[in-house]
Amino acid sequence: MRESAEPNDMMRAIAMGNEDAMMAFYDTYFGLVAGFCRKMIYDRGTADEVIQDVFWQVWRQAGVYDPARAKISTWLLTIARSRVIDRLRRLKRQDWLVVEEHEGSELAETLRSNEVGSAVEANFERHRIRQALQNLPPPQRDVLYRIHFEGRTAKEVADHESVSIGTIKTRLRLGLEKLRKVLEVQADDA
Amino acid sequence: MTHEAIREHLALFAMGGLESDESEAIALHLVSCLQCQRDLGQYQETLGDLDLAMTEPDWAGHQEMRQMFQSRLPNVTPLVETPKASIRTIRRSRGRWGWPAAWAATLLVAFGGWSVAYRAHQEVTQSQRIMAYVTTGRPVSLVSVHAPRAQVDLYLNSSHAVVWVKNLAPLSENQVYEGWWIIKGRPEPAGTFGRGATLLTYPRNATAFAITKEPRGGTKRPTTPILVLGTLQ
Repeated sequence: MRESAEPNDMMRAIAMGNEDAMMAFYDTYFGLVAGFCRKMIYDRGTADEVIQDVFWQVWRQAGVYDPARAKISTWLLTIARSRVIDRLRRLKRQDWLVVEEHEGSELAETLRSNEVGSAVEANFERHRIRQALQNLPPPQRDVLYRIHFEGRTAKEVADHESVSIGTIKTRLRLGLEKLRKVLEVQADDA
Repeated sequence: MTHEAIREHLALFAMGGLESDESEAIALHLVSCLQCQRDLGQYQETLGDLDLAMTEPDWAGHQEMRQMFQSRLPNVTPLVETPKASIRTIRRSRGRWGWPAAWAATLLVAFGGWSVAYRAHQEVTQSQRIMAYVTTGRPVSLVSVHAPRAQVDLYLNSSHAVVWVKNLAPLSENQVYEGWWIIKGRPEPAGTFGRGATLLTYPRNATAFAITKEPRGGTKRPTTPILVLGTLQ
């Protein structure tokens, strides 16, 4: 699925140094980037710094964006993820106990429980993807959660779970490929 | 790392779950491997869908942050000329000349001009490396209170960095920019360069990076005031 030409035009204008286009982009995607960064980083001030970093990177590197390779939202969230992980690692957030405290969060609950909240059901797309995640075997879902949503490295997860890095890598790859296939099939059926 | 080993690691790479030296090896491989680029794109799309599904938009503080962002915007110009573009130019020129270029290269080698062919190959490799390091590196903006329009970015990877000079005080004919890693409070030479992107070796114990103007060839210690500076940790 590709986005309409309008956002791609906006990216081209940003790459040419058009400040109005950049601010329109900022207004369009601020909610998404802020929601993502504040979900990943619990300290609001730090999260807000990362949000601005993400948009600075868009401003500087809009010329690198290739619409044939990824949707803008995918590209933007890839940047956001990278900046968040950088920040978390620089903060050396190694304390697993802190994470355990957050395991009661809505996100963790969604990932770990067998039920999906009624609020989520209102949104079909979200529900569809969360359900696909729910259907993954628990070890694969767990690794995906640790690495993708907590920003851990494979080595950190392997040490924590007392398994080899190879096992973690295999679980992750299988989980992600399974998720991809499920989402592709569901998209075809829709 | 072999192609197959890299494919095994792509999912982790897409999530940023690898140690930085592994990420660098994969980023370099990706520059020339279409199959891995395709696979990575699919992983990123799946992860993007996952992130979208898990993210509730949050508009708190939008107006204040927007104003702060906008006020700095005129001081920073985007990269209109990307490293990717320069690589495309190199590749396109090779493609356009096709066989004649291949013959020319062969003849150059045959008649002792191997160093020219080697240098051309090295330039392509260097551009690819720079592109990979810029794409995967952590960006650091170097700033100056005396020259707010100065624009230099540094992209940090595990053992390499790319310094990208876009706008900085002009050099005289016999001058170069010299970079300095600040290690334990002391400046250590990082290399000399001009405008554009330059690949440097990055010592992980450096806490800051600075640039001064120095005589061509560089010096062991800074002899002029710092033009721009950025903290790394």
